[in-house]
Amino acid sequence: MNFSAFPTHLKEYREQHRASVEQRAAFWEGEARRLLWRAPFTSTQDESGARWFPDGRLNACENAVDRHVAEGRGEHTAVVEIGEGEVVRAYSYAQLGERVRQVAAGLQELGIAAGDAVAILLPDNASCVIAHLAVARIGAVAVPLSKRFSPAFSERILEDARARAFITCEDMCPHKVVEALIAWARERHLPVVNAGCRGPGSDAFSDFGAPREVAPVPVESEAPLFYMYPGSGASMPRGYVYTTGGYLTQVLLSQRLLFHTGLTPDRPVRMLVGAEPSALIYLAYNLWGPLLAGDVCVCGPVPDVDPNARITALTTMTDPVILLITPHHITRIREHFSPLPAEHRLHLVGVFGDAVTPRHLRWIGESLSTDVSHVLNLWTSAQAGCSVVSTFALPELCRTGALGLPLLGVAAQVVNDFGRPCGTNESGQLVFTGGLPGLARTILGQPERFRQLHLNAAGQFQTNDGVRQDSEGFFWFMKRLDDVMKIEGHSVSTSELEGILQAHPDVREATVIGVEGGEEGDALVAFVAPKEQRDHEDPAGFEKRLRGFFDERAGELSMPIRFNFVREMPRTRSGKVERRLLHRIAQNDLTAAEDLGHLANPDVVQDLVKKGR
Amino acid sequence: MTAFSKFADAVAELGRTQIAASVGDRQAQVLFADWSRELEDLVLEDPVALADPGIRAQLQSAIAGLAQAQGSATARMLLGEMISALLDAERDVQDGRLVMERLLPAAAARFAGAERPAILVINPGSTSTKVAWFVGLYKIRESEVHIPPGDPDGADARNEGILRWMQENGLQLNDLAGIACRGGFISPVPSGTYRVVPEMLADLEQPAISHASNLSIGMAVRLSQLAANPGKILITMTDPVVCDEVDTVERVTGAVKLKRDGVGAHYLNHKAVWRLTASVLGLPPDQFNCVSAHIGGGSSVAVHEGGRVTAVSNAFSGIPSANRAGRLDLPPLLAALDRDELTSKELRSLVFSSGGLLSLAGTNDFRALVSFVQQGATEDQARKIHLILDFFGRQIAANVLQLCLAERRVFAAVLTGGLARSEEIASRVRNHLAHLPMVRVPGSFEHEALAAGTIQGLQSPQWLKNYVRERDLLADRRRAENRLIDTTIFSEVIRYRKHGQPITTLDDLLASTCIKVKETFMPTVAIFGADNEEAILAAKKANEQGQYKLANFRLVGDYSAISKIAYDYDLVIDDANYVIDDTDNALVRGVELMDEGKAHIVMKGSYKTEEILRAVFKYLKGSGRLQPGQLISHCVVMDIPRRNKLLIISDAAVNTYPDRDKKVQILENALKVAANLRIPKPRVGIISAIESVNKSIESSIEAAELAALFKDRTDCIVEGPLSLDVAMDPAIAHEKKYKGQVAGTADVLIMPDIDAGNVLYKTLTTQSGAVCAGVILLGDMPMILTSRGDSARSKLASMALSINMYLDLVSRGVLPAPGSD
Repeated sequence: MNFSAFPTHLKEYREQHRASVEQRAAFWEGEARRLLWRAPFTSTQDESGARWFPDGRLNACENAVDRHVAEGRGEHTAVVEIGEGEVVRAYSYAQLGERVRQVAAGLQELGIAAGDAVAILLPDNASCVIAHLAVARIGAVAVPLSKRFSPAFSERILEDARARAFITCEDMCPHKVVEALIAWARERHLPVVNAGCRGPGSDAFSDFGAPREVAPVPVESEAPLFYMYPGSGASMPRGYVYTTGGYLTQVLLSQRLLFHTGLTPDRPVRMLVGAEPSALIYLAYNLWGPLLAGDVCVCGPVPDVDPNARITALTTMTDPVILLITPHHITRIREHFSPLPAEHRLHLVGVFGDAVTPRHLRWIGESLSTDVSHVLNLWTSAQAGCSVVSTFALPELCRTGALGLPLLGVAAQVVNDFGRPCGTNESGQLVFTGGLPGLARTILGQPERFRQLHLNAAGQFQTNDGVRQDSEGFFWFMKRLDDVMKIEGHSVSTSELEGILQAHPDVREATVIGVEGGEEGDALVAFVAPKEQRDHEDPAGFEKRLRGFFDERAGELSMPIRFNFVREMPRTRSGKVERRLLHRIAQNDLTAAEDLGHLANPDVVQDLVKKGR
Repeated sequence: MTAFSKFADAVAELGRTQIAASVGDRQAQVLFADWSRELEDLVLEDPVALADPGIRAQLQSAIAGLAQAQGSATARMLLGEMISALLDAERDVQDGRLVMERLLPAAAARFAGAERPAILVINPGSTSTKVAWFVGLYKIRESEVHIPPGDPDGADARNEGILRWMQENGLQLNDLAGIACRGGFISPVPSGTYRVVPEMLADLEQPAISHASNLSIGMAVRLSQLAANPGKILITMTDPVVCDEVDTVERVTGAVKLKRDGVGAHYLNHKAVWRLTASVLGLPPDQFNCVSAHIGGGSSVAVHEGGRVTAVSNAFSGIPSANRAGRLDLPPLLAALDRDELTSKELRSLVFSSGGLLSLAGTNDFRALVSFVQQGATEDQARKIHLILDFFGRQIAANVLQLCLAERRVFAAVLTGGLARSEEIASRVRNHLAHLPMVRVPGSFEHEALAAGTIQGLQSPQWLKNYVRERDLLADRRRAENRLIDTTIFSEVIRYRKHGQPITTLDDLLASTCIKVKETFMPTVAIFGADNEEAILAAKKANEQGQYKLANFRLVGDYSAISKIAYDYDLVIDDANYVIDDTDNALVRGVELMDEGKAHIVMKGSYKTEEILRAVFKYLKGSGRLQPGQLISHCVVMDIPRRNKLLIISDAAVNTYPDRDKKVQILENALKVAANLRIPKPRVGIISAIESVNKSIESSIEAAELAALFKDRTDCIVEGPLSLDVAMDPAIAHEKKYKGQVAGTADVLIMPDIDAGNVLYKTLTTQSGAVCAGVILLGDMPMILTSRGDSARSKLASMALSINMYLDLVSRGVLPAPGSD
């Protein structure tokens, strides 16, 4: 693999990026050819643009394991499992292949075949990696579950995905979710596979029989690799479908660009991700990404308590160590942490999952990693598969605090509420245009919902992140556009509710505002602009119809306590809905209408304030 | 009839000939004179002779011929005359049948002829109700029903009068097929005939103008309820005064806040005379474009274009009329208002009831005025009367011409209303409008038009308009237009010319600061705790889209919180004008920025004022920028309407009950602000309750001491104790025989304590429309502080004040210029 061509100067990068976007088909074709295809694809995208490498066939496990063995890297380390600062067990690519075949054979014996869904609820250890690879080897679809999900929610996921088997680890017990799910599965005669490993030193899936040759089953490029169920959102589970060819192409590209930039080409890196094994970022950078690129997956807990000692233990490993953590994690360890001596610094630290401030990134540069440019800000989302916007570990391609640059092949843009591009430094929503191979394709069984939630009128993929792009091309995160509210313990996303209201044929636009801490706890207030005059005249009737419509789609729980009908939303001069003002109005703030000079349509506010009262 | 046929031939010739048109013109005129003499003879024998079908046919054919010959001035003149003559002749024959036939489409006229529906027309005036009874096309009764003086006015009282009148005339309520009412000041709607609905009554509960015509709808509804079968009676309203269908461009004026619309014209009559004239010319009304001028007690002009009144000169701001002033020139008006020669109440009266002829001549009766020329007017009076007539003639013609844009293809001008009867006026107007045929249809056709609307509604109910729908559509359209007109393109333009002179308004202050920034350098303001909506909005104003360019900003505080607010308010973080300084402690970082010379002026953000003051005070003291004894104080600069200069008040916010020594420093600080406003020798009033020392009023003693301390100063005039009125109002100072120099002209007021200061400053801002700019002075250093209650202008002015003061300090060498260290 040749990484030497990666540009080190901003200008070069931007030129290469432009070329990769302008000649997207050729670019992605080249990237996809880095994978091993059993049946080569003849086109990059189908006519609709929704399907990638449509006629190609491949197997994910073969690409992640067999291929390295075949190419002579069988003895290279593939997976390392760490405990309290020390290596518990390690697998070479050849050993990993053996284990995977063993489990794949077991699954086949249970009657699991290509296309079947297999739920996986495992701790962050080697067995989790093995389980995913085994499922992929026989062409089945993985459904990662989180132990934070309630049993009821997890059961709904199993039903939604039509899971044919459930891989878990009885070692995790006693754990109420695991126990409940095992009981639930047994009741329904669903095979439960135990990935338990009896004590340190012994192997994962130690209950399984002798290894048996199981040939990788090639699947269509667009065949699902896994269904990702995010925990937050509506009470009904939503399975985002990630496809084999597109996802692997994109993940491999990002693994290479983000973590091999500036390194000697063939030197593997060790990846440790501070996320649950059911998280998208874990699948991308603690599993598929490193395995596809021949790197090392490090399983086990991220340094948290006594981080100095743990990180020192990590960095005694021979290969460069890359640690991915959340901003929340930084805040936790920052208090009892003294800067590491140079020899124990981490090669790279990536921050994902939430907005991180420049001062935190600087702190990492000063205390954890070798340089502030070796602190990456990784942009991810539940629909993007892996990070597609990021800073790079090169001084020219890193601005501390910036979200970074779009990866090669990624057409990212900042647009206003009407889908029109914003100027330099003007803030708007980050969107992707023209599609990406690694984006989630759809929501299992709810294609219409997927379009409604994630595509805007112009067909752009919406991220719900408010950003700006500076004159050098760096994106800067400004705010999350989607308020996630906790209503009676459930996460409710306002943008999702807006999507539901906007789907009503008589609604021109809708905004949902979360109001905190009233007498009955947090609540939602909706502002709706009806299309029809008659609905302006009969708000009570319209509200009734809207409530019925809403109830069918989102349920009573997230029902707004109040519907305010307006002629149009108050907007700033660049067309943003003025949510702060609506928030004040929703809270009956009588001063809401005082200084409206920044609005494009201040006259609508007078009506609103009156109605709000 | 040979005279007619010769004339008709000549007219036909006019239409054909291009060359020697003047010969043709002259010939046609001569021949027309012959024919009209013949007609006059006939009319002398029989007053309605012209309505004879044969003669009407001749007139009609002559009109058709003349209409083809519009290129000829004579033809235009003759055309106008003949249409006028024909309409005049038709008016009173056969109970107005001919007029009704012209007003109605053929099918509706046939329906009325066959069905002969009975229709009552109700048209309430201030002291009486005009009523008419139509049967089919015939107006069989018309009268004015008076309210007996002293009787209470109201719908029921008026209805009783109408019922009495009906009884007297043998008219039966149960015969009625429809009631046509005048409408009144409901909400604006496009022209047309509307079915009367309850929503109209609701809208009339709070009418824009209270007028007797507002009663008509209620009267009609109640009358119908008295009938045996109320459901059978169709109640309609046609072309009310509040019609509005003008083009968007007509809504714009030269002051963006003031928008016009189409209401306030005599739509009913405008539409009627337009239909009548079109009918005489044999054209469908929507293919006949003309300008109609209704001149009378109130006058309005409308242009009919494709069936719609696309522009009007309304009855209050266009032509002067018998009782209304019409359009006025604004500078003399403002001057008169300023000199109190005119009050707004008097102005209102000129506009609505006592202007125009009444104001010019002392009467609103044109006929009386004209006849007075012969009956006792002095020579000057006679000349003035002619002047007035010339004035009215010109104004009417000018208002007509104003609407005759070429693209409108106006075919004729129609003069109507009571004053159209006056030959003195009409001839003058005609002289100015020689390029158009001028049709005169004096008086009005209101009752005919109202009845015609009801007949058409009876004949085809779906033709009637839906009031609620049309009202709301129009309101939506007008609102959308308002938004368009209010759309900001460039915000306020800075215009400041008085270089070096005292700053007398806050707008001056802003402009002068912008200029100073341009000439020197743009300072950087550090917002201490920029995770604050108010501060961000204010900072945005100071530099919005490069509009004011007052300062660059360092937004000091938590990056995420600041970013969020910046996103919501569209503040463009461009790392030049606006830079976020990410920090856990904005007080420490802010002071650091000052120390490093990266920020120059402090602005309050999310921290408490005291916290910021403490941090900055400590820094200034440590760096030697604050001298021992210098004090922190607050000054507010007020821009008070009707005062010709700014007023500085201190201390209304920081020092609570300062002793005399502190007041000396407060005064010194206030003088710095005065110097910054380039007030050459500021007049300072030390305020107390009275203007002489009184032992029981402590503030008066202190004021006297303070004034004594400053009495030898040459850079200012300090006097005290002074009561507020003596300090602020020269007339009162004179009346109270105050001998000092401040006498009503104070530039600076030093208040006895925070209570008095705060009360005064808030009284001014809330009660007098004053705008203020505030500044906190830490010795010499200004600090920006805006609060949520401040208006946008006030926030901007506060920033300008501090920046201006800072730049002064730099230019005077008190503070180092950036980059000079």
